[in-house]
Amino acid sequence: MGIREYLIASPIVWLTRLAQASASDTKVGQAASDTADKGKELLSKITGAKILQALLILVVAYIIIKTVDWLVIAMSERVARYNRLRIKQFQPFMRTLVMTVTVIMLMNLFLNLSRENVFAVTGTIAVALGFAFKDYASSIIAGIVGLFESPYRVGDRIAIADEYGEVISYGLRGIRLRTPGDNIVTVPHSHIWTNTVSNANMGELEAQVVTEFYLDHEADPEQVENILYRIAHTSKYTHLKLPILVVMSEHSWGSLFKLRSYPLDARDEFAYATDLTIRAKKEFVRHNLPYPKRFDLEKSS
Amino acid sequence: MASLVQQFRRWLTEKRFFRVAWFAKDPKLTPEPEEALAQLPGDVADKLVEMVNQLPVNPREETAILETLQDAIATWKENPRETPNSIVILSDPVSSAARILTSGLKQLESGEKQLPPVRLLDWLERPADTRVIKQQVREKLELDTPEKNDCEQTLMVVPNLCWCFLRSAEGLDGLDYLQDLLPRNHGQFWILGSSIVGWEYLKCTLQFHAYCGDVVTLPTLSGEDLQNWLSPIVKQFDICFSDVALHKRLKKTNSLTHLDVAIDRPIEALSEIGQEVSATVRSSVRAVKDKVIPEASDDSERSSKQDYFNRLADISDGIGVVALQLFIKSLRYQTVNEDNTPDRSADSSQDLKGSGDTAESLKKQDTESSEKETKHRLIATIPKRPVLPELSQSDLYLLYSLLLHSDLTVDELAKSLGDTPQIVNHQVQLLRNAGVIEQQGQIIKTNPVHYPELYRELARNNFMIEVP
Repeated sequence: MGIREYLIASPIVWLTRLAQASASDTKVGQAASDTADKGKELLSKITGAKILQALLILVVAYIIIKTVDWLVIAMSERVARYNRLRIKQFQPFMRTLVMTVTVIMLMNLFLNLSRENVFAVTGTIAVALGFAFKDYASSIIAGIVGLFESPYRVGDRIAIADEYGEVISYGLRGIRLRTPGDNIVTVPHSHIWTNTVSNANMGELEAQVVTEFYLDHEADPEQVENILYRIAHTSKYTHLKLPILVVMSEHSWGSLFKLRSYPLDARDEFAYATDLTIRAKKEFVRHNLPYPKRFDLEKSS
Repeated sequence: MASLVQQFRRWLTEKRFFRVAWFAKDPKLTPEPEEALAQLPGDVADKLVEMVNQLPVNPREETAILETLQDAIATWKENPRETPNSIVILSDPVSSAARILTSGLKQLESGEKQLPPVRLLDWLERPADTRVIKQQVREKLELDTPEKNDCEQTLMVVPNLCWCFLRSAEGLDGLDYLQDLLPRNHGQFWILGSSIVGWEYLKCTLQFHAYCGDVVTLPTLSGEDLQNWLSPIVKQFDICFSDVALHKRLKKTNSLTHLDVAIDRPIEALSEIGQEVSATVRSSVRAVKDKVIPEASDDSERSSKQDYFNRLADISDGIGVVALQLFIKSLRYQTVNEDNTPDRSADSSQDLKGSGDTAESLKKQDTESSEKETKHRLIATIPKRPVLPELSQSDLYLLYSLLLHSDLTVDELAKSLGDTPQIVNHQVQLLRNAGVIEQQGQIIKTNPVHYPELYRELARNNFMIEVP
């Protein structure tokens, strides 16, 4: 195209482009107004009464959760011991149920939940959660999976994330453990995706306790075995209907005896191990059973 | 040998197994049923205690032991090599196994002329030092005397196996010895008494049952058994059994005033109401039945008495000593009208705290009231089981230990629990205040009135007790 032709044609092209741009802007504007309309459509009218209603729902939900927590714990600690863990399992289910119902009620209050709107909202939430609350969402989903898979339940004694203790609460995002030192540790459910969970009692009342005894090579193993069985049989904590076993292994520094037995209640595991140790030590002294020499211990380490 | 058993039995009766007086003498506390005794005039209470202590062993239990022993001994005598040379007789930990067993033996001795000589382990309590149990068993049963052990046939009696051990590292040595001894000489027939809780423990720890022959549990008592057993007391005091049928109670507007209900003790109140309702419903059903089928019904007093004793057997789980204590607990001293129905409006039991003065005033009242054709007499109200106080885990360990050994001193209890005597003593005093255990001198025992509920509580909490 020559310069002249260009000069003649340019205003036309410009005008055409201007017209095209104007049409495109109109489309964008229309899309924006469409989205705004959809947003308006999605959000119902927020009024003072609705805010008050929402606050009321939140307060009631909070009270219900706290009441359920109190009731479940109070009941489980009062009933026969073998029902304790069964009753405690109500807590996570009730909490999840109350929270789900609360969220649905709040959504119903502030959003017009038609089919299209539900898709739009869930899509938006999914994207938002995906970016902003990735870990939180992961923990919530793990918590729901955990309810059915049960790697741990309320009342179980578990080792998770370098912590050991009794699960005292099963929340939406994580669990709370009471450690032997009486600390409360919160561990997110998402931990179960990639890490191991060691559960000592798996919903049962009893959990095996392993108590270790170190003796010199000179100690008569048969005598030690008899003493350990007698110690287990005469402890107030021992569940005598469950197996009691003495296991021995040899080491360069001496003999290691392990007494494997079950207390009546897994909660007594540390008191039980202490009771067994104290009484066994008294018997070892009475029978002059030698302990490994400290010199040998240092050498082996 | 007969004199040995008799002597031992007399000693047991006099010194150890007095049923109410033993604990009623406790100066500091008045646990159940002594609280009820304290509400009776002094002379009535004393006489009642005396009669209760003189009660013989329940005939049903004695007969059961007698028949069992006769059969077992006869079979063994015929063929000592082929038949088991031992029998175990189990009773509840609150019943005195030793007393029931020796009573049965006495009957056996008087009935059988050709009974082999008896060697009795006549302990009245566990030896203070558990390390000497083995030695003492040998001495008492004359096991080191060869000329005695060469005898053709001998009866070896251990009235309470629970006194032969203590749950501690060295406390089971005596039983180890007995266990080795049992199958050794078939010329010796062993009669072993034990509590059911102690026996369960020995089964699990020492497999003791593997060395023994038949195991017989004493029968539970029915309402009729209890009625026959307690009839001397009922007759002596002319005890009236109040009818709790609803229509009869409605006639008396104040018939429910003796309900012990307090808002600050909701569990006790609920239990009280529950027991009252169940007794009233049963009695009312019986009353309706009597109306509908008059020929099948006995007279009212007899029916109420039957209701009473059936209920007593039911709430005591058919255990004699529990029933006896609940029976005493249900007694009230009341004014009775001409028609033998108790009149609560004139109930003076609140004013009667057992003092001599009040007893005298009562007699005066009796004389005066006889003119008005009313008199004071003992009324048996609805027997009720007291509520077991709330117990901690540590309490349950202690109470299980007590049931396991039947009775213990604080030091023995501490050894059995693996705790220090000071700590155990604190706990004992708290439980004693709550009325769950009773202490006389050095000896501690569970309170029989709480035994049925305590037994269930322990069974529910994973303790080694058979679920009833």
